[in-house]
Amino acid sequence: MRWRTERRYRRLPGRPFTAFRRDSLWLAEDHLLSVQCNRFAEDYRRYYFRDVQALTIHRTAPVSPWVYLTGALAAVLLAPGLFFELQNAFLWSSGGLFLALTLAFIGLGPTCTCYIQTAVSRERLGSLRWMRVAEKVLRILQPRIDEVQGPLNLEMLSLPFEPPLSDPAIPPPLPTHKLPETGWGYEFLFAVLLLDSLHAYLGLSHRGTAMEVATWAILITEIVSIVWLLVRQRRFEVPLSIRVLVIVALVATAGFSYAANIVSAIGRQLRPGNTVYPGYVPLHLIDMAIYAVLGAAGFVLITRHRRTLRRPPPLAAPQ
Amino acid sequence: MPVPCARCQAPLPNYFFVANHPMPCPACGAEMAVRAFPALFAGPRPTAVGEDSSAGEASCFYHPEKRASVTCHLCGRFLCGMCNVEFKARNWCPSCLESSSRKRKGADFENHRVLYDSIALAFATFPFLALFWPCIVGAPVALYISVRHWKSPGSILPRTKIRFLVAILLAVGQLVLMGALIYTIARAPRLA
Repeated sequence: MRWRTERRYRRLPGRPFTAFRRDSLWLAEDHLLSVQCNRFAEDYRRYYFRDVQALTIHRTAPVSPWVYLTGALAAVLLAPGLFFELQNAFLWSSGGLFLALTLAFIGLGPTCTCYIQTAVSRERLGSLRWMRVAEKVLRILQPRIDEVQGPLNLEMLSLPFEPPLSDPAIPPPLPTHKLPETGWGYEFLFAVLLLDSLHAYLGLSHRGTAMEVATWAILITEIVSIVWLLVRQRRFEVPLSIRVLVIVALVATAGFSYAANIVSAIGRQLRPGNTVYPGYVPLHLIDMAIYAVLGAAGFVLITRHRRTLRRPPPLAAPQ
Repeated sequence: MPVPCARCQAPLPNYFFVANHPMPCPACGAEMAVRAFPALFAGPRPTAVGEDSSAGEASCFYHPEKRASVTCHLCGRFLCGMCNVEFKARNWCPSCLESSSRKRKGADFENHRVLYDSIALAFATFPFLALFWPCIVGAPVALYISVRHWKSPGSILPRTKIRFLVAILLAVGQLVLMGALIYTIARAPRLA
């Protein structure tokens, strides 16, 4: 019985933080193996060193987008203890955990996407998401590819070079090749915002467990859909106004939840046993108004965007 | 095939290939670092065409009119330049390559493998962690998969059989616990 499989491959650095997919890169004697694993099955792609034409690293952001989320959560969880003297072990420990995560993400540095190109394909290497790791992998791969293909010399580049970057004759930017956004996800978010507005209105007169459950359900739905849409914006073309609206919705959701929790906590400390804290009504009124405006504006914008998608392209001018 | 920008897909100019640091794409401004290799500048590989054989020369097994240039490393048949397939630094005839691929001789032909050990471990753990009673199905399934696929080819990457072992131990433990529970319930004195 063989306890361990044959060790033909050496693992290269790079391990993305994903729950269900686990991409990795492995080095063999004459090829690079890209493995895409969904925990229960693995798909392999082999790139032989003699076929590799280019490796492209695209620097995408100065820090991982997770920094903003974990940083905001750390701030929300630590602020009550720091500024309002609400000492709670759960808040301190969870806030500290998110702070550590934020620092770890900052420490990992800028993010990137990495592509490997051969004569017949150009594939993304999913395991390389940080510049530092991608450069490290490149330093490992380059000598091996050079060993097979030989070094790149200037004659191959068919010099003279293209004009330098400072040249004024640089062509204008090309349009991005994002897919047009159909908008149903945005419609869902704006519907939830309107629902939140209605919920805030009902909250003025109705209280109880059902309202509490509805509050949490709407809040979680809002956050999940906003995060999902923010991620989706990277691949789909959306007008700037809608993108801004989604970010405003995120800020409003986080701000109102935070304000409501802080005000209610302070109210409970001042007047224990009182369910209606000071500022409850004004907060709900502002909440109702802002979500109604955001939801309505969102629906108007997404309808306009849909119309532009349906509009046929303008005819060319007659010669 | 030029190297396109990862964001706007515009072809990147040649000076990217000699820069040792990320540079902005002239079209969209995205920062890009490119390592190009000689294969990028090599033209398409010439198509192998077997040369005609003359009298007294060894001819190709598949094309008797063509001169043999190599032999298949597996079956030893003579092959012309057209029939020779170079793979893993060896010469293959098409039929050997096809049969090796079909019989999965060697991991180099495969591009997908099922991780039965992870599946068995999932059956052994998730039903138990989620709710206790679903493991009455999960544990036998985990045990069956572990035993049935103990010798099945797993990942081509370095991997031990520890998942199979843990799955078997967990499944057996759950079955024993389940049996003890059922026995206890059956033996409990009934209320009048």
